[in-house]
Amino acid sequence: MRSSAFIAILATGLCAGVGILTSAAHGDEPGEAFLQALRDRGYHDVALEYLQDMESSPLVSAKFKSTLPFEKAQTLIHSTATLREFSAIEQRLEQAEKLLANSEAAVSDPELRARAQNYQGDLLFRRANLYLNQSENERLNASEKQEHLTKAQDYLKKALDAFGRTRQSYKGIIDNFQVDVRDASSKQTLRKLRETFTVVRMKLPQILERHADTLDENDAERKKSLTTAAAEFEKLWANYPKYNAGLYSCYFAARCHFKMGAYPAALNLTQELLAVGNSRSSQTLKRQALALAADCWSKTEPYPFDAVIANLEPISSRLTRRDLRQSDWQRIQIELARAYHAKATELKFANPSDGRIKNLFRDASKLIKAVARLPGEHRPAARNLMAKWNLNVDATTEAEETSDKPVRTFADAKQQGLDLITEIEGHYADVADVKRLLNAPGADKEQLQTQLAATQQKLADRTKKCLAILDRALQLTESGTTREELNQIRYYQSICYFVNQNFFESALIGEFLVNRYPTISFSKQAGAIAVNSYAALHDKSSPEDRGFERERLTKLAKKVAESWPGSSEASAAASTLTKLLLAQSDLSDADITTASELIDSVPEDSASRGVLDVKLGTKLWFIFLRKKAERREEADEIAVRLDLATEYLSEGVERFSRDNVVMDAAWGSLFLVNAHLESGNLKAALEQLETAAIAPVDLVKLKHPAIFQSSKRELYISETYKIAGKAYLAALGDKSLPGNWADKALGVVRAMQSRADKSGDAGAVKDVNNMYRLIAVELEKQLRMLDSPAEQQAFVKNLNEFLTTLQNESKDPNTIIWTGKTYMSLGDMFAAQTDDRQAKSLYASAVSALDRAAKLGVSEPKLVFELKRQQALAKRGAGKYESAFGDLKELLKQSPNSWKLQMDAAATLQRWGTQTKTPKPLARALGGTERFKDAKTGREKNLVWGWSALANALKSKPDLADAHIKSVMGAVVTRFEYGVMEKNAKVVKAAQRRLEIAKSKNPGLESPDWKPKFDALEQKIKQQMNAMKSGGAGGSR
Amino acid sequence: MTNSDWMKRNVVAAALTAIVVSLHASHLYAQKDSVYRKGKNGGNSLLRGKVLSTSAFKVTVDEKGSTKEVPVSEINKISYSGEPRSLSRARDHLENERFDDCLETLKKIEDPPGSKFIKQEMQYLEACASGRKAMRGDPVLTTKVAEQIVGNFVQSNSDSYRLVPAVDLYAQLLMANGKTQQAQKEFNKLTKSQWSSYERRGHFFEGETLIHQDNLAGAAKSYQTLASLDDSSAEARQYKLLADCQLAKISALEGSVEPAIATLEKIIQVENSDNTQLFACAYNALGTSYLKAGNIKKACRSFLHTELLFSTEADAHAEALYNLTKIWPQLKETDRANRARALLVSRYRNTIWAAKL
Repeated sequence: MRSSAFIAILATGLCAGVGILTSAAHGDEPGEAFLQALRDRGYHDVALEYLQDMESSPLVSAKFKSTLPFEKAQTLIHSTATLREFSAIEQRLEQAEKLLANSEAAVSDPELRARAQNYQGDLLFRRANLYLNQSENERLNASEKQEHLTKAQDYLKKALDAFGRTRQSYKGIIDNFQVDVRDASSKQTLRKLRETFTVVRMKLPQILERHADTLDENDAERKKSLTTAAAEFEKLWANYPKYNAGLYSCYFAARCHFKMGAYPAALNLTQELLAVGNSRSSQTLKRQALALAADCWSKTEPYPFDAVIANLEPISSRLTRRDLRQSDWQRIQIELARAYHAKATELKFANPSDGRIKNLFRDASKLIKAVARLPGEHRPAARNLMAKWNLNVDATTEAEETSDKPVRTFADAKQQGLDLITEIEGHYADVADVKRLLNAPGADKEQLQTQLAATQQKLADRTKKCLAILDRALQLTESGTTREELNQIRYYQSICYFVNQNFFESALIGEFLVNRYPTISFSKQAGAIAVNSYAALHDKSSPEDRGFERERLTKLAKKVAESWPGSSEASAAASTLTKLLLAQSDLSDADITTASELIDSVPEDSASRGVLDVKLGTKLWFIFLRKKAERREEADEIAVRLDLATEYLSEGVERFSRDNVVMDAAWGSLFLVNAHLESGNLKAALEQLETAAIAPVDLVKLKHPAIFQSSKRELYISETYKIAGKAYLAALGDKSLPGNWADKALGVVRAMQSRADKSGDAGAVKDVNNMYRLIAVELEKQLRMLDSPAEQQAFVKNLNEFLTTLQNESKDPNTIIWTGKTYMSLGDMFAAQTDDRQAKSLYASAVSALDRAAKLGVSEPKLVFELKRQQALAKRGAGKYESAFGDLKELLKQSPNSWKLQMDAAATLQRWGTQTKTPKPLARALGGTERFKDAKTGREKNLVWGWSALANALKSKPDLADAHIKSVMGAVVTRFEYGVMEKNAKVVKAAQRRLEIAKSKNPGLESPDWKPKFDALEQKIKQQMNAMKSGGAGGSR
Repeated sequence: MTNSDWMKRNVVAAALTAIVVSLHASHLYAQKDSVYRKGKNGGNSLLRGKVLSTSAFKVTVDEKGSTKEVPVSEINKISYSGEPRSLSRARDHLENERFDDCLETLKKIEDPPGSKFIKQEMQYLEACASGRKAMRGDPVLTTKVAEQIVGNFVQSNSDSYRLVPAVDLYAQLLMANGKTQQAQKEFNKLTKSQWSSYERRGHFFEGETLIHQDNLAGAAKSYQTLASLDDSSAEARQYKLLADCQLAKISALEGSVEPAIATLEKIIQVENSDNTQLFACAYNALGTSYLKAGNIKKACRSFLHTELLFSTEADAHAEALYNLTKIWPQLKETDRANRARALLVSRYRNTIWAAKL
């Protein structure tokens, strides 16, 4: 619906309303004008601060001060237009409602009270629209949608009441208004009061019409609302035929009649509107009225083709190329085509030899093809009609070929050139469309290839003809031919060369016009084509041979951007330059600054601005990741990089909605989630992930074409799952974020598993495994971050539910082994904190999970081995040391040189000895055990090496440095524990000596990870030594 | 005879009379120079005769044998006998701010008459059209090029009756190109022009150039002189108010912020906000004062007044935009800063404020 115009009228009305009540033009700060300007610009934050300050400022009048609460309320209402989050909008509207309610009761001045009522009506209408929009939210289920719709209807009724009261109030004020003949502003005040009154009157039928839109077509109340609204609009039209309010009321009345199916009444009103004089404001309205008339005619039986032709033909012949891209004009073109076709059909029926038939069919065909070739909302309708009329979009009959008409003058040639350029643009768009479809999954490639070849051929033919016509135009120049007309011809030539991929010729023409005739029309447009041509030449050249193109492109694009700042051509030039810069593999800080300056020069409302922001943000995100991994920069510098990437990603992504999202933006949204996670802003990450305008989870869930028609869709889906999993797991540990995060994380795992099962793709399987690994790491990390035991217990409880559900649901041994491992990892953590009860419970869960995995049957030898190892370790955790050691021994027999297994065995013996206060396992842990005769050498050796031998074996392996230090630690601790247990000071001293030697020889012990542990151990040994010397608790043998 | 016939006849007769009269008039005017003097109520009074000499201060005319001296401040334009018709068209184009058309028309004048005055007039029109075109932000004709063209005229036509407006334009171009010291010298010349409007402009903009040079004492002196000029005209009152605003700004920049703010708020309270030039100047001065006081938000609001309500005042608007490009980032509003920057660069690209970015 064309409601923007109405909003504009309302806004104008509000301004008018504001003006009559507050400060005069002199004697005070122009407060209300400034306030309105701030609101119009969207600077609501500044407006609110200004209102706050004005409460105590001497600069504004007392009267303006008395309106401050209203103005604050109105500013709050206005400010909701920029908000997205429903709850935030509601919160502000509630704040505004309170302000208005308090103010209305407090004021005695009738004008101020009327104004408060007016604002209250606005507020209720805004709320109604908010709920109506929510009721169309795809994320909601049917009952939630209905709930919002009901609320919207309720607010519409309340708004109707509020405006009814406002209308009465203003009527009373106007009736009692006394014009003061001595005061020149008195009449003006009355005029403005009347204007406000008219605007309020218009709001009433507008709400009724909106209310009707919420009802079922057969609902009697709908018809009643529309009838009342139409009658009220018609009264306004009758009362104010020369004012905008009257003109718009006429259009709205026609629209209400159309909605009721009263087409003749609607058509009468549109005819009345078309008969009014031309003005800038009436032009748009007339166009809308014609489109509405077209809708009415199309539904009228019998179809009034003569009336359609009589009304639309004169207008259609005057349309320019720019007009043809406008939606209403396209609708009008379609209707005219239908009328030509219908008339031709009837003539053919009556008299097949009628000479007009051929021309009418030709005109219908030409018009409909023009619409079908242009992208827009009416393209499908045009294509449907073509199919109905058995027309091929690429087929052009000789009769309709413009270039076959005789060319006698420059004007003829120019017109034919223009016609051909329009066709060429249509074909060019078609070629792009077909190419896009070719990349879409499931496309009929063979058929599309044929279509592509045919369209390309058509395009080539047209451009060849067009170039010939344009050459002819240049030959036919006359003394009266203006520079502008010559520029136009040159510009068309550059288009043809560009389309034919003669980029060099195209670039030269554009460059010439930009440099030679910068102030003449069409140079700017030709410059934009030249920039694109150089960009194409640049892309076609080999990377090492792009110097020339790069230099020319940079120079020309800068010139275009600087010469016509703010124009779409300048934006496009700046975009091209930015893309060129961002395409570099590496980006220096200077490049980043240049790119950001170029992006700044692209207007905020330019279509390319969002993509550029996202592209730079993405580049900055990857630079951040690289710099972070390199660890060369200070933490502060890295943080700045992250902030910058987040800022650009955020700005870029916010410029898109689900309707216009492109793949770059979808990736940007995903990277933004990651960037928020990286900076610890979990709430923002989850919002971006789930509820933002282009939330990655939504896009995947909705199978959005921007993703699903992209060749990178699998990667995007996989990355979305991974990041979603990461975010949900992070939320699991955040007390401030209530939600079913465990369920959501499980949902992600299930979706990934199902995807892997369906595709059988190795990459997808790997993703699932990586996800599990990630979950384990995240869970442990989060658990460690919790301070109090109570929090840890609560977390483990949630976690247990999550792992149990996963384990019970899964039939995949890998998944179940993973749950077992996770239990064990957490058990280890609790064991280290000496919470044996919790640790044992977790180990028991691990044993149970691993047993279940074994029962499911594992056939892959590697997995069997790993399962047995994990089972042994789980038994160890559960305190079944002997059994665990037995299992490990069996595994060592199969793989005696596995250092991991050797460490497991030594650690098992160590824990056995420590936990059961038995020295023997400690001795075995230190020196090794289970002698056997090596079949190869015939020598006896230990099956289990023990910590000392392990430390020796690993010391010369740099890639196993950490395992080596762990073994050294094991050797010292075991020796020490043994000494303490046996009360043998010599052994304790030997442990100390071993530690000193290790520290002097192994710098790795001084690393941040190990130093505190070895220092603590050293301290412990010293204390023990002292105790033994003094004959204390430890005693001395 | 029908009414319609009668009307047609009358129309034809009137048209013929007009043609005869205009031919006669052009014949008469071709013999003499026409000095269009500023008349009362904005009109012209015509003095016909022979222009004997011109200077920056007066034009000497021989009218039927008697010599008359006309101060240049009283002259709108002079149409010289024998001047090409296109010259008059070019003059009209300049008056209507159609600078391209003016330059194109001048270019088409082939074999211009040898008269020194006509040549001077052509040079002036070319210089003035070029200078004003550049000041308006032309993408091709930069202020640097225009500075040379206007500078050439000023240096080689010291006896032109157009010298004072040309010096003013030259000074503005120098200022736009950041040559504040040279601009100051030129504005100073205006203060001695014996043309009250330009004298006041000279003082005002001399002060402006000195502020740009951080010579606050010098600037204050210029504004004090301007405020003290003994004149009761509306224009003089306006300049006095503008000088008060600038003096308050200087006072704030020197550290006396509170009194400066009080002065400026008083002006805003008392004066009429329809006086956009004054209000733009006052709000900019207020913004500068708040900046000096470290109150960024109030400074922002003051400059926003100029930006949103008084954008028709080009100089002040450019100054406000420049300040906003610096203030918005401090308030973490980079988008708004970018918007202000884009507007400054596109609309006022050839100004000192854009050059300062």
